[in-house]
Amino acid sequence: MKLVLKFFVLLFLVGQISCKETKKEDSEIQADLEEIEAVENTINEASQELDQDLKELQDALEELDSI
Amino acid sequence: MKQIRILMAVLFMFAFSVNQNAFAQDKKVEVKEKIDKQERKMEMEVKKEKKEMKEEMQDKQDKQEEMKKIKELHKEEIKEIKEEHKDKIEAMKDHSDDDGYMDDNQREKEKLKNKSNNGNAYGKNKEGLEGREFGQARAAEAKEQIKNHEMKLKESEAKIINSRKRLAAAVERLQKARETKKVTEEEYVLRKQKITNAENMLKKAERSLERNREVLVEQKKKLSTILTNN
Repeated sequence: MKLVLKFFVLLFLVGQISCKETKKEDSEIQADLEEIEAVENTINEASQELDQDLKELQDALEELDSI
Repeated sequence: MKQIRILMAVLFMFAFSVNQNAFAQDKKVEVKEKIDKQERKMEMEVKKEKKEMKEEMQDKQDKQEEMKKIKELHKEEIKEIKEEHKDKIEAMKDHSDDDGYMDDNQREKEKLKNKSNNGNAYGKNKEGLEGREFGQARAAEAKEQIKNHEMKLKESEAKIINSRKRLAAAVERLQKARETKKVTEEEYVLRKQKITNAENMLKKAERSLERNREVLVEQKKKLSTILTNN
């Protein structure tokens, strides 16, 4: 009986440790994913700004050409 | 009697020495046999070790082949997911082209939707890929986006150079028109204003391009640190 109890306690401890490690790994991955998303967002924002500026420039030049 | 005793002693000595020789010979034979046995044992052990080594090598090769197959499968999965993402991005682009850019609220809603679809299961995720693999796939996507952005910056640079040329040509045309008196003073002032406006736009675009380059370098560094941490 004691042996069985010991076995279950050990099993529980191993499960807890494994779960903690998995949680830690997952939180690390989540942080990485957030950083990747932030990278993509900043690039997208900068890209949109550039597109807008280029569009305005093209419009101004077309206006000049039309005169 | 004495002679008999001496004879007996000699005989005994002879017998003893012969016996010892025989014993020694037996011992030698035994030692030889032992050595032979040991040699045989050694040979057997060497053969066994060789067999085990061969088996281990075969197992390793099999494992390597299995790993290769698994890697190929993973690569295929990642490719499929990338293609799916590409389709989604294209659909999003089309949608944004139709309706203009998305509002912040819409983006947040979409993010929430995506998060709710991903679930919260630890270690497991997200379109068939498990945590770390999904992260790597996302990093690969980000890398691809950075490459695309690099290409876009090159195109933008070419556009800006072209715009500069067009602007210089417009200035030259205006000067000639003024010299030949093809334009009135009012028209000249109006055109000059438009040219300065276009010059300002050009400067703005150049600044934006420069900022984009800086952002690209920064984000590249960030991404490489994320990848090295993985």
